[in-house]
Amino acid sequence: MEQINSRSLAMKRILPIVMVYAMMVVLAIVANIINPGFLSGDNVYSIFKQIAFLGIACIGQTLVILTGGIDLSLRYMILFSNVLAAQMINGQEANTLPTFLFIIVVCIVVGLINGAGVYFLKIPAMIMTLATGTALYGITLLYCKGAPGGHASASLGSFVNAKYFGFINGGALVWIVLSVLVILLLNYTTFGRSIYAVGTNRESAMYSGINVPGTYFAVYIIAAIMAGLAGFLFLGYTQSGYLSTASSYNMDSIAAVVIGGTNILGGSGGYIGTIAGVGIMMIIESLMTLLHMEEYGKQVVQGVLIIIMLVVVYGRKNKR
Amino acid sequence: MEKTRKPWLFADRHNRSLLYRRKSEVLLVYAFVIVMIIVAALSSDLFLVTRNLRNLLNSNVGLLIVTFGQLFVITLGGIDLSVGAVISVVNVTTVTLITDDPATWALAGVAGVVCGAVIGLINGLLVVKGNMQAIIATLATQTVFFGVALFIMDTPSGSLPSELSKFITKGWNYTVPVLIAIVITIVVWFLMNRTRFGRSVFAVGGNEQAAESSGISVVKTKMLAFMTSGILAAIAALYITAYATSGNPLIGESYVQRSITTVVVGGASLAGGKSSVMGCIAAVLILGIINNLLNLLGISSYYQYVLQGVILIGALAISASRSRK
Repeated sequence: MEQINSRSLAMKRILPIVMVYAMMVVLAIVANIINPGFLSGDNVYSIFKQIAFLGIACIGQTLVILTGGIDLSLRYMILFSNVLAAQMINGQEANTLPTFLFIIVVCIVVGLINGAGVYFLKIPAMIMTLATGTALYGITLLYCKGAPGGHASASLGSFVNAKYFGFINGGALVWIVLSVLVILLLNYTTFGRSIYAVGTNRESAMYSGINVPGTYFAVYIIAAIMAGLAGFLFLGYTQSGYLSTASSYNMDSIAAVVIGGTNILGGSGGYIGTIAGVGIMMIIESLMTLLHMEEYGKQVVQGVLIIIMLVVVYGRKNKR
Repeated sequence: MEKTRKPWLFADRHNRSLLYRRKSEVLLVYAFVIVMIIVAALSSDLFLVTRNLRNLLNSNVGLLIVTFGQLFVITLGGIDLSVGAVISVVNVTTVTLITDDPATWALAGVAGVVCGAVIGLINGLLVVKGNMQAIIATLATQTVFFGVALFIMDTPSGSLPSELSKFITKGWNYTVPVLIAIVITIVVWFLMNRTRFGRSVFAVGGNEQAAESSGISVVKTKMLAFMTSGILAAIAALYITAYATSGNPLIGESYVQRSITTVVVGGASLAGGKSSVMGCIAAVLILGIINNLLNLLGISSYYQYVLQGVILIGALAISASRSRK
């Protein structure tokens, strides 16, 4: 009896993930039919060049959503890191590493503030991160006086854009390494288990001896660091800072995480599904760019596709 | 008779203390408004001037109405991220439809409200029939309808006849906007506190299963709440359009964050089941006074973002620390 239960439980966890990956593959094939050449080496490589930034940002978003929260400061953290890095580095090799370390320190502070608001002040995560995000946006604008300047150093640019092993660029390589780490973290460590426990039921997690404040703080700090890292690597890709950087990343990351099967209320899901969610978002984006679609068309198509996929994801839960 | 005057669902004694606690929370928000007014009056001579106070009021009527829409959905335990898109769609639609002929004004108004109702209906269907979380469903519809707004008008353009916009935002010596705000407040307060629909909204937000088993139609309540939110956002959009006097597909963007903030600062819980119409008014005033004061002091808009974030956290921390006791 127990064996059957555990087997059906495993099926329940694996099936949604298989579905999402199937959805991604189908979408890629459809994209290739609509626009032959979509699956050509060049285009796949160009998708990989951009996928890392959303992918890395989604690591944080996945962890935060798993605890039952949501991070709306992510987009502003990426922007802050991107603009700050461009101006601080300003093409100087020697500034690259100190700038990176400085950004990480700022990220830790932002993560601590978010964690403190959510855990100690019991402010809903959505509102708390909205507030810190708004403040970060103001700080970014103050720092660059409304017009970002500076540019990336040569080493950062070449690290992010260079081809490694003949098929993958540096940004994507960082993303892949981090993905493996976060999947291991979620599935095989006490910390990973704590995240699920806190997201399922905070009270019972506390009574079963889980370090609840520690989990909250760690999750928000990781989320901020991932966003900061994404913004920093993004600078290598774009070469200079822009105020429009990552403006859609709050929405995109939430959509990717939820399409990937993570429950928006927390407690179930994981990063393996998110990877497919990120893939789906990037396929849609890339296809629309290839088709030279207007901005309004992009938004309508993206929104409608998200709705369709979510009806598939959530509609299934309905029947159970 | 007696029964309808008190919040229901709870035994009497419990009831009174709960009522007291809710009232004291709202009073706290108003105390904060008074503090803000004193601070503002002390830091700028221009604050307590009739012209500035008029400005303060008529620039925030739009936000107040959107906030009321958001209030229904948040009390229900949901959230409506699509209000910004509703405002944008209604804004560009009405500006496109309105000409100098007064007959088109009524038509545009009706068309706008219908747009809002339809978007609300779609949100409701996705949540009820699609079994989606409100935040996700409205996130998706917001993307779609911002796209629609951009399709109707891709860059800011068009204008309203000046007599129309003047009447709505400044008419009868500035009493029209105040009247609009008062009428809508009364209607919303009545809907929330004196009707079956309002009580169902509170009940579903408090405990969906309990509401369902006590004979409330959860499906109907959710659909109606989302439609109310859409309609109120559309009405707000009509006012905002009159205030802006032109079309702009991105005009609604900032209202999503602000309306959620005001509802929560006004004493609502994002978990649902708890909210206050009067608290919303105070919260809109707080946000309005902050912006107004920063403008009067000539502080760069960059600082405004920082201060808004910090003040928001402060206000929420105070209300959170009180509600825990």
